[in-house]
Amino acid sequence: MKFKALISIPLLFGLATAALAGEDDRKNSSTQQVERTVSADPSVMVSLCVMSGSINVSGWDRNEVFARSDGQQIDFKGETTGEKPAPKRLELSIIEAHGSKVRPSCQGYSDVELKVPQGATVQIQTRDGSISIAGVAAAYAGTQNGDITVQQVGIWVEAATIGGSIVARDLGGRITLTSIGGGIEAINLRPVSSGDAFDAASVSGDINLVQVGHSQFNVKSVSGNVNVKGPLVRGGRYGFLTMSGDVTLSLPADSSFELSAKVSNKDVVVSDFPLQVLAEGGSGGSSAVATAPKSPEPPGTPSTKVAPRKVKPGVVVKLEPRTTIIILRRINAVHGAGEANISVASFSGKVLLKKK
Amino acid sequence: MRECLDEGVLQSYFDEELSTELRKDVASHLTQCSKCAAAATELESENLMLASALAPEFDLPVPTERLRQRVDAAIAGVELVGSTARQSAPSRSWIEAFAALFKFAPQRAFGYAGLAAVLAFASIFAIVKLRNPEVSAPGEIVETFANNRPPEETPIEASPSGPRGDDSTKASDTQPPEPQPTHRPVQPVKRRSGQSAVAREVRLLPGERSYLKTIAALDESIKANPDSPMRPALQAEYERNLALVDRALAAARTAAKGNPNDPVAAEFMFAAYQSKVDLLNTVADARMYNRR
Repeated sequence: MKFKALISIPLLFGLATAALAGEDDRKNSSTQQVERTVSADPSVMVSLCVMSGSINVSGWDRNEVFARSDGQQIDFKGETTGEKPAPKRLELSIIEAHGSKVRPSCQGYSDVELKVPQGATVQIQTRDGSISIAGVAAAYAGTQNGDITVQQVGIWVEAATIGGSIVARDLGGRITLTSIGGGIEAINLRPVSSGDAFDAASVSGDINLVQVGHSQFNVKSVSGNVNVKGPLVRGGRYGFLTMSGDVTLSLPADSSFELSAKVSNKDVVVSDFPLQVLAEGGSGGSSAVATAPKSPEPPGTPSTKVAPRKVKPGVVVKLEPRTTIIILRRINAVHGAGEANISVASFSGKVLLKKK
Repeated sequence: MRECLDEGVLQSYFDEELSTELRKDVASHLTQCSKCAAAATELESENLMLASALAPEFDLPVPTERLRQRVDAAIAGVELVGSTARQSAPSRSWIEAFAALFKFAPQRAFGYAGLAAVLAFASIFAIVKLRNPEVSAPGEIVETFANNRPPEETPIEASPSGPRGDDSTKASDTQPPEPQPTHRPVQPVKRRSGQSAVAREVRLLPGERSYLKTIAALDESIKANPDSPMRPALQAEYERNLALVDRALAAARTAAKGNPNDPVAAEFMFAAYQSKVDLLNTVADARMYNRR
């Protein structure tokens, strides 16, 4: 009996001590930050995928990748050592704080801060958390519940979120922004090559675009409004499609464009520009001008019924309903020399052309 | 009496319906007024002509002998039927009852006429109903399906990146996917009488089936693995936006059906379908991500 007691008491004491030590380590690990730096190629591709946590990525002028997490170890897959050339691809994963077990891809829980070479391409994914990327060459950012902010990215950007919003500033190259429920805001975007396109899409979020210099330009929304401010590119092709959202284009007064609008009979095209209406058409593809409905002008505006006709600024080209069902109308008009092509389709929203 | 007599008074005069005093006055007036005398002469001649024309009928006794004979025979027959009915065997009573249905008594005539009218209307309604739902307009595909599962067809490709590369904003470039011939025989769904409106709603326009097929596949993917339900945040966002897309799709589809010759209406409908495919695709990707 005495022998058993002599063995079991130290054993229990040891176990209790180990348990207390583990608990202390866990408390410390949740508050401590883990940092690590590895060398990398100037144009390294860095990918990181976590289940939960906000991720902040910025470019710096070193050929190194720096990572900092809030207590979790980070594994650099693709890391090289010795005299081997710096890696061109690094895949980062979260490691459990105690032990060497690497969590399966995208299962980590940690906020992460990354610093990468300015020429790097980053691919960042998280489920719950926001993403911020700045000062890199190219970026992909995807999150389900979180906002995305992308700035100063030079070659291409693709950002997608379901419940969050997207803010894109000072970007170049091909840009694709997709949001389901959140809004999209893009400011000062420019193409790098002639083939670069700008695409933005949302379901219910509004899309606000300022100074987007791409000549290929496609924006679509289901119920969100679309607002565009800035000059048009000569020879640019602008496509807008909404189901129930309004499309508002605020353009310089000297804008030169050809407008092709498709709207329902319930809604209107309101233009501050003196549009020269080339054709108006209803359903059935019949002669647009011949079947053009009367255009009631506001008081004081002279009636214009000759095709092609000149529509005074401020004219509301209202399409009279013929029946109770929705009938879609097409309007082709031009302002100036028609150097840019604007195609607007709004099923039940308004189309507004404003002078900036 | 100085004023001229009207035709009614003259007719009453000839019919001897006037009082004695009035009759004397009329007779006196007729001797003095040549105009009324002429009218009276004309009326009298008309009466005579009418009387001569109808003389054979007027000469017959009312009711005629023939009618009286028929009435008597009918009365005798009713009495005979009543007495034989009481005396005949019960097994023959149904024959007599059936035969009685064809005795077109005046009271039954209205009933039979009403029954005939109801049958006629029912026949017309049945013919119209049989013809209309089965005949589709040229180029239309008429089908019904349950649980949002369209028949087999080569599906359109669900673009994994949602709107990327989608030119649906260029409405003039929007083309409905080519409907592929179905290889699986389509089982017609029996319609109840109240389902005709529903059947009209699911009448598919050309190009819709490919989208429906893709949507069904994505929906199945999203709902797969019920042990791992969708996270509440994702589900809320998904359902909210799906409702918006469905509403837009319904409106666009109604417009497309209302304007079958309008390509713009069809373009909007397909754009709405594409929006739904994009949404489902995004959510399906998210579900896959969460299951990793």
